[in-house]
Amino acid sequence: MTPFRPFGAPSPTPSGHPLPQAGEGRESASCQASGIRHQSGIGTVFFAAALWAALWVGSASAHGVGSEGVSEPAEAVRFFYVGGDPMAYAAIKVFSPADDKVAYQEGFADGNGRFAFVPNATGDWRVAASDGMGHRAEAVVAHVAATGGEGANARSEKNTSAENTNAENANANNHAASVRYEGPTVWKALLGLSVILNLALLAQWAVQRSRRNSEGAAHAHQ
Amino acid sequence: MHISEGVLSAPVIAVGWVAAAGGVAWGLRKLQPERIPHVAVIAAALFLAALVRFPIGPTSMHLTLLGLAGVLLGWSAVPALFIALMLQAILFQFGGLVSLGANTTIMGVAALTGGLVFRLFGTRLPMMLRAFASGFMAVVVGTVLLCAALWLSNSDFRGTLPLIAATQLALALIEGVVTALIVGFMARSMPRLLAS
Repeated sequence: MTPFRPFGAPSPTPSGHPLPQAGEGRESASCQASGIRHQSGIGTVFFAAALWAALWVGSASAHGVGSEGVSEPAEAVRFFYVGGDPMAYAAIKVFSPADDKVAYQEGFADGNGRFAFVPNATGDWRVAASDGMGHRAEAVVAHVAATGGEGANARSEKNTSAENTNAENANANNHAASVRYEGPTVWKALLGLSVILNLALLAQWAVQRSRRNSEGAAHAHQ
Repeated sequence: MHISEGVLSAPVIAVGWVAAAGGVAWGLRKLQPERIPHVAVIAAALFLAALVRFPIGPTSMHLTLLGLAGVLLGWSAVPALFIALMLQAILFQFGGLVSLGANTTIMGVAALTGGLVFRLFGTRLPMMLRAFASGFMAVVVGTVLLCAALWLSNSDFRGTLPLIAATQLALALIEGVVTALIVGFMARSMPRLLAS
């Protein structure tokens, strides 16, 4: 409990000791001056910190998040199985022209097998899609710098090397994809059937010829 | 079940080719000349089966007829599969040519398992049930081998493992039913083919 202190009495320090009065000695005066200088230094530091925070509020807000529209042209690729079904939610890796080992970006295709990314340099960008079940497709997108003017993002899809799948350029630009899916035609199926049956005929002919030769050799031997 | 180029590691590709070469050679050795047209017809069916696609969940599957090939051809199913897979890779880009050995091995072992399951139970189970088990087990074994090949190649498929399991289970059921229907039909119309 704080003891009663008459008006005019020396106010105690936080530790309970009375502040030094005038004429109490040089040491006390020196102590007082030192304390004032100390408090003044702290205030200066606080002031400087406040000023720094005010001036650099932009960088100070880097721990926050925000969003904005992006005007850079994006590249979009669609991956699909032979037959036309999309590689829905396939895992995607994008490799920049500068680094073919470490992926520039990773993500997943959408339900329609489409994936879009924003290149940061011109050149051939490799986009690989994998559905995790052994199906893998690659597309090489030749990204060319914008030449100015609206919609002048000159771009082209160089080639899509498809293993089990194909990829096509699905960008909204008017540049037609250089590789488009050509479905399994009846002609391809008929060609395959023809090859199989011709192989069988060839094998049958070879077997019969071998038998005939062996029979001929047996007759000649007799 | 077709594995594309660039997915498998070199050792898995090499082992796949060695096993496939052995299987094809043994299958040709066991092939009786009079059964060549028979094998050709089954190879044509295997080739065309991949074109029959049906949607399962977010993806789509196709018939394999592996169990049926194992039931009807035995070891001769391996060369039939090799020819069918090679033509599928060339004409339809189903799987790759480099991974053809691994694909042949995976599906060949699956087909042989299907045939083994069909013969293993003999007359203890009804033929339709054996045929269903044959088609079902062929897909299950093929899927296990596929996952093993991917795992040995350090292919990260853990994220899609539930999807693989779900879709392949559905495919196994469908294959089982299709195999049972075809074998049931053949048992009535041409039982000689099943007896061989």
